Amino acid sequence: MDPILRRSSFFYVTAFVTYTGLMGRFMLTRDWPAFEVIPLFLPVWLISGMLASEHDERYAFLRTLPLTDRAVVRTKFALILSFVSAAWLLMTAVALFRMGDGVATPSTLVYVTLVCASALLVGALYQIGIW
Amino acid sequence: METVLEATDLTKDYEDFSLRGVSLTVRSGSISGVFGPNAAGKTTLLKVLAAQAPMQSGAVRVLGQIYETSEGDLKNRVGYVPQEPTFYPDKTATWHARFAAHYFARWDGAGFFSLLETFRVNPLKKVKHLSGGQKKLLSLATALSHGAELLILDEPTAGLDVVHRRSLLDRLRAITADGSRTVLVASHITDGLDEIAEDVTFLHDGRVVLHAAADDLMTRWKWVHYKDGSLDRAIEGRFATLRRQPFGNRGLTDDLPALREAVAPALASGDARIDHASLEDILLSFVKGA
Repeated sequence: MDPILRRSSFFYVTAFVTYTGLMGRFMLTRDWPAFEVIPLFLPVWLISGMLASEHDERYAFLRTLPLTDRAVVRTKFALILSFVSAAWLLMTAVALFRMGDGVATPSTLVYVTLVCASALLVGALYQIGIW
Repeated sequence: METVLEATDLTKDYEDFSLRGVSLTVRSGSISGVFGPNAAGKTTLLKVLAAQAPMQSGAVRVLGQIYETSEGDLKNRVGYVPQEPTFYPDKTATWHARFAAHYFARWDGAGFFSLLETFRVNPLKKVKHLSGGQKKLLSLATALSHGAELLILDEPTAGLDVVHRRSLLDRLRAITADGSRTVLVASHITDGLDEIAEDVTFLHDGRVVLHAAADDLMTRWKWVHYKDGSLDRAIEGRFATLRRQPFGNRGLTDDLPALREAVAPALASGDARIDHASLEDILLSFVKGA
C-alpha cells in the first residue's frame, strides 16, 4: 500500500468511523427528522480528519522522494473523495431504509447528495489551501 | 569531463530577496562547493537545482534530463539533503526507511542501517528526540542510500561535531573517488569543505560572483605580507584586500603570477613573503568588496 495513503488514511478512517458511530445511530433510531441536521456535520468531520492528517504532514520530505507533486495531490484528493463517497453511500442507504417510517423522503436523497457534494468541494478547496 | 548539472540564468524572486541570473555547471565525479554569506541565496539555489522549489525563469538540466519531463526518474538519481531536515517528528528512522524504500527504485536498506550505525543514530528513536546533528546525519544516510549519482547537500556539516564532520568529508571524498558520483555542497562556512571542493562558486546577494576551479584559485590568490614602505602605493592598489597592521601589512592578491614581478625586489630583500589564502579569505574579499 502506498505509504502516503496508509499514513493519511488512518485519520480519514478514524473520522469516518466516529461520524458513523455518533451520527449514524441518530439517523437509524430517532423519530424526529434527523436527516435535516445530521448530514450537515459531515463537512465538519471531514475537515477535522483533514486537519489531523495535515497537522504533521511533511511535504518537504515528500518532495525529496521520487514523486511528483501531482502524484501526492492525487493521493490526497483520492482520500477526500473516498471519505465523502463512503459517507454518501451510508447516508443514502440509511435514508432508503428510513423511508418506510417517514423520517426520510425522496427529497432527503437529494439533500444528502447536495451536502456530500458541498463537503467534497470544501475538502478539495481546503486541501488546495494547505498545499 | 562530462557535465552532470547545468543551470542557466536562474531567477527566483522572493519578497525581500532575488536569485538573479545564476548560471552554474557541475562536472561529473567532482565535488563542487557553493559558498557565500548568510542570505546569499545558497539554499534557494540548491532547492531549485534539486526541484524542491520552482524557479521563475532559467533552465536546469540534470544528468541530461529536465525535471519538467523526468522528475520521478531524476529524483531517483539525485540525493538531496536540505538545510533543515524535514522528517516526520513522531516517526523513527526505521519508519522513514520503510517509507522511502517504497518509492526509491534502488533503495539500499542494509546500507542505510549500516550508515546509521556508523553515524551512531538510533534507528528506533523518534526523530523529535534526535539532536540537530543526528537529524542531519539521518538525512545524509537517506540521501546516500538510494544510489544517487548526484548528491546536493545544503550545509551538510552544520551541527556536526568534529568527528562526524571529518567522517562525512572522508565519505564524500570516497564516494566521488571512482568518478561515478558527483557532489554539490553549499555552506556559509568553509571549514573542511574547502579541502575537498574541486570547483568553487561564490554566491553573494543572489548573484554568482566567482566560479572557478579550487586549484586555480589557490594558485592565483595569495597573501603578500610586507614591511611598511617596502611596496609602493601602486602595487598596494592592486590588492583585492589590504590590511595595515602594526607589525607589517598584508595584501590579498587575486593574481599572484601578474604581481610576482612587482613584488620580487621586496621578496628578494626579505621585506615580503607570500602565504597561501584560504577560501574564507577570498570569500571575505568578495563580500566586503561587493
